[in-house]
Amino acid sequence: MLTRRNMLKLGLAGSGYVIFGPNGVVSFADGDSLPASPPTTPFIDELPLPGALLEVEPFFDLPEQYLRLWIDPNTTRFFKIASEQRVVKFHSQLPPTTIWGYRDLSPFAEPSVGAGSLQPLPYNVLGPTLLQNFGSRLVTPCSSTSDPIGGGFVIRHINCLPPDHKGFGVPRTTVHLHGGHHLARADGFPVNLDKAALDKLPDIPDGFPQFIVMEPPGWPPNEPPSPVTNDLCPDHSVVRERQRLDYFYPLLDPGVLDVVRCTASTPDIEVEARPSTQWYHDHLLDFTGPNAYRGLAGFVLCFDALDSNDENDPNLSALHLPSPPYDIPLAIQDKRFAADGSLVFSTFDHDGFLGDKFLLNGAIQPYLEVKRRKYRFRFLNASNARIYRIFFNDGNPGGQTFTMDMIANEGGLLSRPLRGAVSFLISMAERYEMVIDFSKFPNLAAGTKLYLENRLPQSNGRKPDDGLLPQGSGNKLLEFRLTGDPLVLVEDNSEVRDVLRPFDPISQADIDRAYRRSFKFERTDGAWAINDRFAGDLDTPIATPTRGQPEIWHLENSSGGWWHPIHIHSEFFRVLKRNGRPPTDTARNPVVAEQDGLARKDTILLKGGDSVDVFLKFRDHLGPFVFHCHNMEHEDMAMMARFDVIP
Amino acid sequence: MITKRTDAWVAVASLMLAAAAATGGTHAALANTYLPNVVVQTQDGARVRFYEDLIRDKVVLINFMFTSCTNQCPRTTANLVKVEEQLGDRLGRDVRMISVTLDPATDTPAVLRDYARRYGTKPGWYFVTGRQKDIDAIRQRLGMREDTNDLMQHTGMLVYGNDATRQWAATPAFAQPRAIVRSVMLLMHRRMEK
Repeated sequence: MLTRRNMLKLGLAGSGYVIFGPNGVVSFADGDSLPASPPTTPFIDELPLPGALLEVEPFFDLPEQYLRLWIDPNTTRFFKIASEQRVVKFHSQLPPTTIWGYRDLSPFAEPSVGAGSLQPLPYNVLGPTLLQNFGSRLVTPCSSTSDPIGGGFVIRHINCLPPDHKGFGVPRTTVHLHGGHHLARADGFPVNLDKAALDKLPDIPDGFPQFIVMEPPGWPPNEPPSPVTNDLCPDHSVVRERQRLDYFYPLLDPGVLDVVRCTASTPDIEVEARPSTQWYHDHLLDFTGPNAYRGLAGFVLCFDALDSNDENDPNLSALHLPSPPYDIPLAIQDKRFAADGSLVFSTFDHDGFLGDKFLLNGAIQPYLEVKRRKYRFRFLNASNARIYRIFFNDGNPGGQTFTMDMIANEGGLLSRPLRGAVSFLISMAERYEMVIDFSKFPNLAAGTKLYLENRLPQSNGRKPDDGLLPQGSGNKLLEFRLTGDPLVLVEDNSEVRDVLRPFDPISQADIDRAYRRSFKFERTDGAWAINDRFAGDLDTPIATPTRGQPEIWHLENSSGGWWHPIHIHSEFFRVLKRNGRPPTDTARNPVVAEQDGLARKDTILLKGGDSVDVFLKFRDHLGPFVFHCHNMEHEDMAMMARFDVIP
Repeated sequence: MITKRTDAWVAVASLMLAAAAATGGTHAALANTYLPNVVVQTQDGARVRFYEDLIRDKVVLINFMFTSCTNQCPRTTANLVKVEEQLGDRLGRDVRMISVTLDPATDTPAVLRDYARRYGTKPGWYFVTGRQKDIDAIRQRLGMREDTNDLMQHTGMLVYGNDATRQWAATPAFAQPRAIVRSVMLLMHRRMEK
């Protein structure tokens, strides 16, 4: 673990940090590194699991375009989520911490479960988990455009954050569902466009709202208050129009709309391409880092008939992957705390903020009791700037390392599992799903402890340090405790088949007719630039891909050795080349899952000097989206560009 | 003199801070310390304290430049002139612009005054010089931590924030003036509310 002494050794001393302490009070450690977080005993708290988001009664005070084009109250489901300030426990030895978090506004919302000693506090850190089902939707070809398509989710997000907040973060919000394929107006665009920019938008049937950012109560202070609505914040205060936004997620496979509306002569449906582990988080311009760090993040888990969330599914063609309670999402974050439990952040660390405490689902170094059977773990790197390389081992220096089977990434299930993975590298916003089989340890007695360990050292936000830490000297993230007699068989109907969700690589014909663009990420005079132009101008698109047109984007990292995970909104992409060659999956340490035909991605790590060619096709949804570096501090320093999908 | 006292004060304050942070501290006890309070000189030759006299309770935009910089800086300054125009009469009243020279040996107050005149900057935009080590402290504190002979490396970024709410962010200094002003205005609302 990074101790203060290590930090000093790593050369972080003397640079001057700003610390925002309790309630936004500012303190500063002059000529020294950030003070270490207070000590916490690892593995005394149980791994928390966020509760599922619950449906609410339908509501119809919705944008006119939604009602006309999308909403069918018989098939569309409705949810409400508030962003609020609340007090949680990150560790049983740490005083309570004030965070910003998402809260399910259903009257039947359950508090988080399995929180062990974190239980006394009513809420946990992560937002409620959205559970989505794909694949059961029937769409009628060429249906009349006068009928709404129906299905999908409406999520009404409401900003109930404190308007008088002081300290890091800004209490204005916009929500991006990361990994989703949905309307531009529901994509969490980072900023309200002003009139001139709105006027220049392509003609978007779903419309694009004037106010995409949700304001806290009473904002904006110099304008007349917006109309009162029927909604209430968790503190029962009245919600005004500018505090909320309705996000509609159609949950349709990309390309389906072309069939429904007959808008394309050669519809290109990627059937059941969407089920994957996604997440939602704040996306406010210049402040995504501090706002997400304060806690505005949650999971979205998607299923369909194949990946059916039931290892006992009577449908024999279902994959029967380990299902709840053996399907466990794991959000990895690093944070830093003051002695009073408050979150510490450095606003002026533009390289990328690193914490010295490692959290899974909002608990510092928790434990999980496991049965001797298979588990599916869905890893999400929800950190601001830290990249991890994760091993499954016995935690002992020179001890044993065990293998895992990789079954999925951001783009959902791989074509086939990558078995025998020794480690995997996970950069910010990437997701990887690993199956671990705890029945493989008949020699280990009940109570034996095994670990997930990050062995990648990182001492600043630019990139990880060279090399690997020895086993046992890294950051132990999670402790598994084997339960049960090794000789007693535990029921386990789950399996990892040799074929998961196969799909064809992009055809040569599509590659041949692809429109090619090149984006070179550079650092110019200490600011980010894309193609020689200072980045971050969201009033103007840097590219205007045509809907349905195949595109190949060459993404190049020429920023002097820094590492950048690049995230493109709206569509998954296929990786055709890395550094000029087709990527391979032969390595097991770390295992790589990115080549076309095996995997789809929505975030791709570019190490210093790397370039990739990715294939994209923007289907269905028109309008402004963004692509950006998912090092949140780089993103907040405008390492982002807008592209508009045009008809 | 003043400088020495300030240094001593900052040193004492740092110790207090560690203690204050540990106990939860009070706003008043910490308010002076999170940005360097070193004595600097403006283009008018006035000696001012960087934090207390230029930043405290204000919304500020801070960038780094040097007058002998010929490629990017003139474009950036010209861009910031447009920002200044769009800020209108809010400049000076609620908002301040601060351009800190990275080359204080060359950029004396007189040189900075000429530079400011050349761009026709208005009151409320301060060009700041000082002792090299104080300038370095300001630069590093604002997140440009690399010590490099290539001064250009620090000229691309614009740090903006509201001292009263402690909200700070950064954006390219060459970003669209309209976008810069829009971002700054959003923080400024908080100031005017008080």
